[in-house]
Amino acid sequence: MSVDMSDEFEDRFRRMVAEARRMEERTLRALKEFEHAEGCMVPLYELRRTADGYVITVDLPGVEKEEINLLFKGDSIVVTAPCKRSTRAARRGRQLEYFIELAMPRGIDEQTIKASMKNGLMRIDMKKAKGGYEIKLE
Amino acid sequence: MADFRFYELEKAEEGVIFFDGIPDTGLVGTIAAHHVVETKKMALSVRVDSDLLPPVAVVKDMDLFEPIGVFGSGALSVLISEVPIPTEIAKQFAKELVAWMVGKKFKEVISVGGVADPNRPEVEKPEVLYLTNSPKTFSSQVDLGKLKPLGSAFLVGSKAAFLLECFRAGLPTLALFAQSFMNYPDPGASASTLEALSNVGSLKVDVTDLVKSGEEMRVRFRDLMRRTMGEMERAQKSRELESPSLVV
Repeated sequence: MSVDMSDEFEDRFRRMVAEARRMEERTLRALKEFEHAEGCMVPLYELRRTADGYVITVDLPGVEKEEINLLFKGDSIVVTAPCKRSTRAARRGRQLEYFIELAMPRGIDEQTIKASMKNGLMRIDMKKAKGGYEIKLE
Repeated sequence: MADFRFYELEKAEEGVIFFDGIPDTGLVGTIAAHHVVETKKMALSVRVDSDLLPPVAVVKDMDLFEPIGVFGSGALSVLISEVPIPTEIAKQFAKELVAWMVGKKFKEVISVGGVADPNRPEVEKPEVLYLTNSPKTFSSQVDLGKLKPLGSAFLVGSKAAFLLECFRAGLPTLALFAQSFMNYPDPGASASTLEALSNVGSLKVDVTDLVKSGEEMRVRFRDLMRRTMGEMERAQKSRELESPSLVV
C-alpha cells in the first residue's frame, strides 16, 4: 500500500496549526475571563531587549502619570491605574482599572529600574546586573 | 470554486476607489478605515463571507453581520474587518477579493498601514512612506514628493498578500505606510496617512477628531490588536525587520 507523504504532511501541519490556535484561544479566553471577574483591563505590553538591559512598555491610554501605582515585588512588577475611557463595563456603571503583573527578566539590577510616562504609554527601563569577567584573547 | 462570497446589497458603481482596512501593524489601516466610514457615515454595501473564516457574527442594531464588509459611498468603497484574516487563508482571501474588485472595475486601490518602529514613542508626527505601481495615477492626488518611497523591504501578512494581488492584477495601487507601533493600536499613525491623502477627493476627512479621540481608540481596538498580534506572529511578521537579499 502506498502512502502519499505530501497528504500526510499536510494533515499533520493542519493539526499542528489547529492545536496552536486552540492554545491561543485558551490563553485569550483566560485573559478575558480574568478581566470580567476582576473588573479590570489587562493592558497591551511589550518587552524589548537593549544592549545593557530591557525596556518594558505598557499601553495605558487615558492615564496620567500621577494615577499609576507601580509595585516592585522582586520577581514581578504590578501595574494598576484607573481606566476612565468608555468601555462596555464603564457604560454599565462599573469603574474599571488597568491591571497587569509583569514577570521580571532574570538577572536585573533592581537599583536601575526607572519608569516614565508619555502620551499614555508607560516605559520601564532596567539594566542587567553587572558581573562576569573579561576573557583575554590568546 | 470560489471560497469567498460577496453579497452585494447595492449595485456597485464602476470607477470607484477601493480603500482597505485589513488589520495589520498597529491597526493603522483599520483605524483609518473606521474613521473614514464613520465620518462619511458610509453604509454597508457588500457583505463578505467564507466557510474558511471562523464562525463569527457581529451583532448591531438588532441585526447580524459578517465580520468582513465593504462600505460604500459614491466614488469610494472601504473594506472593514472586525477580525484579523487568518494567516492560512490570507492568500486565498487576497486572490478572491482582488478578482472580485477587477470584475467590479474598481479604478484605484489605496491601502494604508504601518511600519513598526521601536522609536515610535519618541516620534510626535509619524513619517509616511509610499509604494505604488502607478506614480502617474496618484501624483495628481497625493504629493508623493513630500513622502519617502519604501525602499527594499519585506512586507508580511494579509495586507502584503492583498498588495501583491493588486500589483499582479495591474490595478493602480498606492500603499502608504506610517511609522507606527507594532503591537499597540496607533491612531496617530492612521491620522498621518489620512493627512497625506487629504487631496484625494473621496478620502478627504478631518483627522482632528481622530487625533483627539486617540486614547479612546486605543482602548476600543485593544482586543482586535491582541488577536491581530497572534496572526502577525504566525505570518512571521518579524521578517519586516530583515532586509531582502534579492536584487532584481
